[in-house]
Amino acid sequence: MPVTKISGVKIEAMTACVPANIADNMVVGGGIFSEHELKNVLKATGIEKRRVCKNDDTTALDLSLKAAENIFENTELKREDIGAVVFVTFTPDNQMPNNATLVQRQLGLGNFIPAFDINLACSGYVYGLWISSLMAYNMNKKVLFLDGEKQSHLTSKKDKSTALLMGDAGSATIISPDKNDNEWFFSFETYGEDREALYIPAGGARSPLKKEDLDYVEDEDGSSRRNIDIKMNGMDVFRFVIQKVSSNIKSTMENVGIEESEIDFFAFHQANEYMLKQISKRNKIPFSKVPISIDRYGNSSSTTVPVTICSEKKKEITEKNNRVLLSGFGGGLSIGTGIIDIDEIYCGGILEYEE
Amino acid sequence: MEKENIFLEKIADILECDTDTVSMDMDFREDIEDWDSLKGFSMLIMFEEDYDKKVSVNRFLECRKVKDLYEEVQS
Repeated sequence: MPVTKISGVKIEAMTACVPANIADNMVVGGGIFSEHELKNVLKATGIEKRRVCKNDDTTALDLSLKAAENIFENTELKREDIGAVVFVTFTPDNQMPNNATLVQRQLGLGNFIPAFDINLACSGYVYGLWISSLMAYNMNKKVLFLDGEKQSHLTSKKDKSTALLMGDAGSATIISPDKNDNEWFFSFETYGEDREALYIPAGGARSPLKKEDLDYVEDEDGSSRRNIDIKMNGMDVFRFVIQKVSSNIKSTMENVGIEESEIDFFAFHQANEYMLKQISKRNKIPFSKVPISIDRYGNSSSTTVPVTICSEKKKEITEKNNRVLLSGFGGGLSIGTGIIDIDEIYCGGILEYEE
Repeated sequence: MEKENIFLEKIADILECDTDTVSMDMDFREDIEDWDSLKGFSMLIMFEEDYDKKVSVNRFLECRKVKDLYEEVQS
């Protein structure tokens, strides 16, 4: 498996932001599970509460902008220092144009910069970090990298496999060119043949929105959803995570020649707690080195990686040097894994967005 | 017997309980406190990896006891 290397960059700042509005799964889950089932589902997935936007017109862009503004307010970073904007999302404000150009306007950044989105689901933060790092090095300029998703409007409250899982969140990360000795490594895997394990059937160009796509249709297990909602085949995604993701992490570490003991913490995409335990078990990673945020924030797709780092590791990343393994995996099906450094950066933690 | 015991150990590991609490007659969904579908997915993966048996979700849902599962992987 190929592993790509990059050096000469650093993370300078990172902040995440979630809606202040809390969805309590004990309450929301009552409609689709029996009391006993619900208790077991919450125990296995580890998701007690989630953050979801209350208003229709709050978006991933709003959450991510608040995170970015926090960095400008609390660091020496100036608008004119930003040489590019990269936004990872599959839920942009508009189908066209992209979110990154709106960030350029909203934050008052210069006109002579590239600004574009990357469409990816759960593996997206690692991709965004990789591309932003290459750009920062190549352009010798700081890159503003935002990663945010609003999935609540694409999730059926009557779907057993997704209703208690999905959350909304935004984040901002600053990547800067830097003369240091750190070496970062990235590996990626793509299984387009399994794309329907996790996808949104209608509303794209292949199946333009029709009136009936807004109707709730019931399936075999009693769940119901619209064609514009996220549809997940639980078993297929489970198999992918347990087998492909576990072995990707093992191969990446072997190829880089790094031991578990040399990594300070493993920031995994918060798919669900049970799956993270299985990945850790298969790779002999002590679960104490796997920070968990899904219990309070839910699964916000790719944004779970910065949310987890900002909520669980703020103290560590602001006070000392850390060797960190990041891994995002899901929709595509797609895996992105990175081994990077986060050394005494500015971190604004988790902000709350009031609606 | 040896083969059966190995199977029971693997089931106990997934159910996160002691091996001696798992028997062939156990109704694995009803007889443990915290059954959920993720444990079921884990069993299907175990059948694939350790017994080279791909059992469909529908077939799995028809199995009620541990011995039904054992018969699936032995068939």
